[in-house]
Amino acid sequence: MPSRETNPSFMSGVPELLLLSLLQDNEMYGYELVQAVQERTGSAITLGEGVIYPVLHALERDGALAARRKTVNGRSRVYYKATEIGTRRFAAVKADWGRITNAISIVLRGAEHGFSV
Amino acid sequence: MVFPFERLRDRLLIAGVSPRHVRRYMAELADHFDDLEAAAKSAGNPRPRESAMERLGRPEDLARAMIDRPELKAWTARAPWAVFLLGPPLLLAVIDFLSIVLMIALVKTLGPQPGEAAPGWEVTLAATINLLQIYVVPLLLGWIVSVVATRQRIRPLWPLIGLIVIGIVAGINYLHIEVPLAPGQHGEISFGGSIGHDTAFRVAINLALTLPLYLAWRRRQPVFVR
Repeated sequence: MPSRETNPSFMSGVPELLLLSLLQDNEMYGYELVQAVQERTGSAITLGEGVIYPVLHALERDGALAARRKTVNGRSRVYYKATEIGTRRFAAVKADWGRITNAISIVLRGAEHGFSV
Repeated sequence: MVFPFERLRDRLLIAGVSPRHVRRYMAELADHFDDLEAAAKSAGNPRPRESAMERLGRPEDLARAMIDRPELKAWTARAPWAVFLLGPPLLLAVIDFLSIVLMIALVKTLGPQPGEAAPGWEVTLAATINLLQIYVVPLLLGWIVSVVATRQRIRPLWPLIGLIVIGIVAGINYLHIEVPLAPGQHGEISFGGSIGHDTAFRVAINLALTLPLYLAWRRRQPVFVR
């Protein structure tokens, strides 16, 4: 069983990025999303399961996600999917994330080669 | 199954989170909890309920995650002065405006023509609008304020201010529709504010019928902090 510890530091903006990424082409509900994040990250990233909903609500309020109630196998759930605004936002957040990770990689590579700040 | 975070609902409402988001959040958490418990059972976990609760998150964390997002707050929390101070007079003006438009549209399309008497149903309608405007609309607005305030667990200050504003403005507000009752008479729509001998009486009636109702309703609610 994966560790239940979440990644509190360094996680700012990550849930939004992951959720927008997963919801680009798929309509999913909360539990499915958490499972998908764990599977695709090999449990390296573990979201606090209940606290993803405020992120989803906020994204929906901003128009980045569309939500609808749907009954599947006799259970009614709220499904989310990215809108056009969400797709644009995902591209922007992804680009920001790419720049940050790239910058950090450069710093870490420098540290490996013994440079000092 | 009893969802173990019932107190979370009150906590969120008291913190000013929009009831729409609270309702959906609670439903989603309950569904998520059921899924986690079912998964724990099928994995042979001897304490599936505890495991599900642990994975879902501590009530404090679940509350904070929602409360810390100002964009999910209700207007009653963000701008109570707008909802309770400006909202009711605005709604009263809209009701007056719609009543006038309705009456003008009916007279223009269905008559009476100038010089004719109004049909019986039109006389009844005009009298009904006049009565509703005086006796029912203030109570309706007071009821709306009371429902919003109790549903969202709001401290009584702003709702009481709102009810007093409704009582006074609705007491002063004046809308009277007259249709011609006999050939040769003319109809008239008059509206605005009037302070006459019956204004104080109307204000007193409005307050007497809304304030005690709200306070009694409020006392029946289990939790009130905000």
